[in-house]
Amino acid sequence: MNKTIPELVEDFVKGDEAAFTELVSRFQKKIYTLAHHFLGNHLDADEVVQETFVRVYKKREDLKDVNYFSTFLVRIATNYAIDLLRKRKGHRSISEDTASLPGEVQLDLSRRVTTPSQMFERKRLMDEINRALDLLPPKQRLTAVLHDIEGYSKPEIAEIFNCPQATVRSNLHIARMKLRKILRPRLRLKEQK
Amino acid sequence: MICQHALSLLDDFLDNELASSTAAEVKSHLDDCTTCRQAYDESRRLKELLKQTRNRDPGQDYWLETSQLILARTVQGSEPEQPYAMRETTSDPKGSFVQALVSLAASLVILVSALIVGMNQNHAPDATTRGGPVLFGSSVDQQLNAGYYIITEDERQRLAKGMLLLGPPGLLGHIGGLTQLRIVITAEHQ
Ligand SMILES: [Zn+2]
Repeated sequence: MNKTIPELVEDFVKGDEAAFTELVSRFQKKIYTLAHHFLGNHLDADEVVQETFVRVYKKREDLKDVNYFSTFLVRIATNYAIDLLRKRKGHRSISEDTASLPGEVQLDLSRRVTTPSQMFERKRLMDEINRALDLLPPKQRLTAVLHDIEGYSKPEIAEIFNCPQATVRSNLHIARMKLRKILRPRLRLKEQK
Repeated sequence: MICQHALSLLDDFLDNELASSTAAEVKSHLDDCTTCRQAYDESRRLKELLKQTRNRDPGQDYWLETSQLILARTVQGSEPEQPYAMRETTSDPKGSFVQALVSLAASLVILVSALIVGMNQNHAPDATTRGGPVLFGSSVDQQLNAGYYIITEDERQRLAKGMLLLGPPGLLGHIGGLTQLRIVITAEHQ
């Protein structure tokens, strides 16, 4: 009964509206998470989700290979997100008061965090990570988010950016080096515990 | 293996992308060299830290509403030219430029009204001077530029008490007339 992604994509390209609806519900979370990590706030992530699917719908004729849908989708999303970031002059609009907003990023530590001081500490660490990501140029930041946060492989990222794998590797290497440098006190501190 | 070579392979080692023989060479170098070991430990911890970051799920209502907005702009084709559908719920405080202008205009109306009320009230001369700027807070410029609100804790509390009119949701409810306005001003005064 449940159709596979390639089946859904095939139906969608042929004009099946129900298939598009199903694709939206299966992929919107993925796009939201990626955009939120990259842009740092719920409202921009929300905008990316909506615009991505509207563009995918309009460009569906360009989708020649149904197995390519995920890359196609993520490529549109990342292009839009980079444009949005440029509008924000390279800085993610991290709200001062994110506690009341829906998509707040948090650290999912395996240990249970219960006391207020532990929660405060976790929030502070997350802020530090966000600020560090904020200092990277868009392509490096996006590569780090895709690879180290979202778990995309280097060949997948190369396909999304339509660039050689060597470029992905070098962007990732530089991004990690910068993040390590910025977060060094934090990375060493943890060792002493 | 020299340090420079080991360091150049650290990323691949970390991502488990080296041939097993090369990986063994890197590992043996890391066991002997504290400098490279430290670089490796930092990289490993950074990777772990990044892997642990999670967004909070905005919730089922959000996903449903989002897919409906997308469908309205695509298959249903009701808003073909609208660039990014604004939500009507207050949980999503992003206002459009027009909404911000309406908010600004309404705030001016209330400010002027507040001054009139203040002039007629001898017992609360301080209220208007404190009441006036509150309507704007410091964030109108930020609202217009960033398209969403950055508010201070103080502003948030005043917002909760109805003393700061920050944006479109519920705004019109505050323009009920001078009676309501007096309540707002005196409430702050107490
Ligand atoms: Zn070494």
